Amino acid sequence: MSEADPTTIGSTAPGHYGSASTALFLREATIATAWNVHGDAGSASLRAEVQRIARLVLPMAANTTSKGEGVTALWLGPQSWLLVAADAAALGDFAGARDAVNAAGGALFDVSASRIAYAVDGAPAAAIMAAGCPLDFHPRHFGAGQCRQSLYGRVPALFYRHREPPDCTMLVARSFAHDVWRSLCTAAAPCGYTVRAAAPFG
Amino acid sequence: MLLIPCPWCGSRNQVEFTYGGDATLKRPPPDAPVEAWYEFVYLRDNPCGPHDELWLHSAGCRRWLKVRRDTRTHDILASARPDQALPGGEP
Repeated sequence: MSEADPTTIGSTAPGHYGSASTALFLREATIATAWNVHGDAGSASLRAEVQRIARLVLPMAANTTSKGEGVTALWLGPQSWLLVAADAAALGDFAGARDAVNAAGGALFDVSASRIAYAVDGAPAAAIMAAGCPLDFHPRHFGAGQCRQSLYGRVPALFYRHREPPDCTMLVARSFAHDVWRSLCTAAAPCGYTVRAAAPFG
Repeated sequence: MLLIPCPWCGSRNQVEFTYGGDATLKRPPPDAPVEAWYEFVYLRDNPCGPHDELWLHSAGCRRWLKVRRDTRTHDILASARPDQALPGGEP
């Protein structure tokens, strides 16, 4: 990997930044499709319809996620879930899926362009997250397969751990991407970090 | 800083929440006298001690919740979903 200019903190070009050489890695996790499911969690027909479309069981417990073939469902609230796929083919046609979910009494929104995801990995990842977020990132409180909505700085963010800690992925509104990336890099700069090339979400 | 127990998400930092006002207000019937509506819309008590409030978990699950907070100490005494009563009835 090429050696990037350590003074350009906030650059998205792959390379190592900062003077120290801690194993801390930042990258974008690319999202092709993101659909927001709204509806009554108690409705068996809605759950069955989503299971047919996304080939996964919606997570009913708060702050949890579930995985299907190339699709991840994240719990956003008692009546709201986010389906995320790194490959557009994993979820298929939106209009047909929306009509089917509507018929089952729910609502489906295509929010594919709304969020950008950043993955942070390496031993100091929890400290980098905690620099801007009030959540407890200790593995005892926030383990693999869990998600939480909170803030990073003043930006609403969705945090997700799809693997064992310290790995953590953060989804924020795309309009805040530059701001949040700079905040992450500024928090990571004292211990040094490596920007990796973007890779698929999950 | 307050730790507010969201009935859905668990204990979360106060910065994730938005204050929503007095949870003990009762909406008057449509044909109530204008004084009752004036009181409902504009007049608020300023209680010293436990007070039931509405909060919105705006940066979390985006649900409203009831919180009983001691206005002297900021102790959070209880929380509940909006359609559920806080333990012990009204303070």
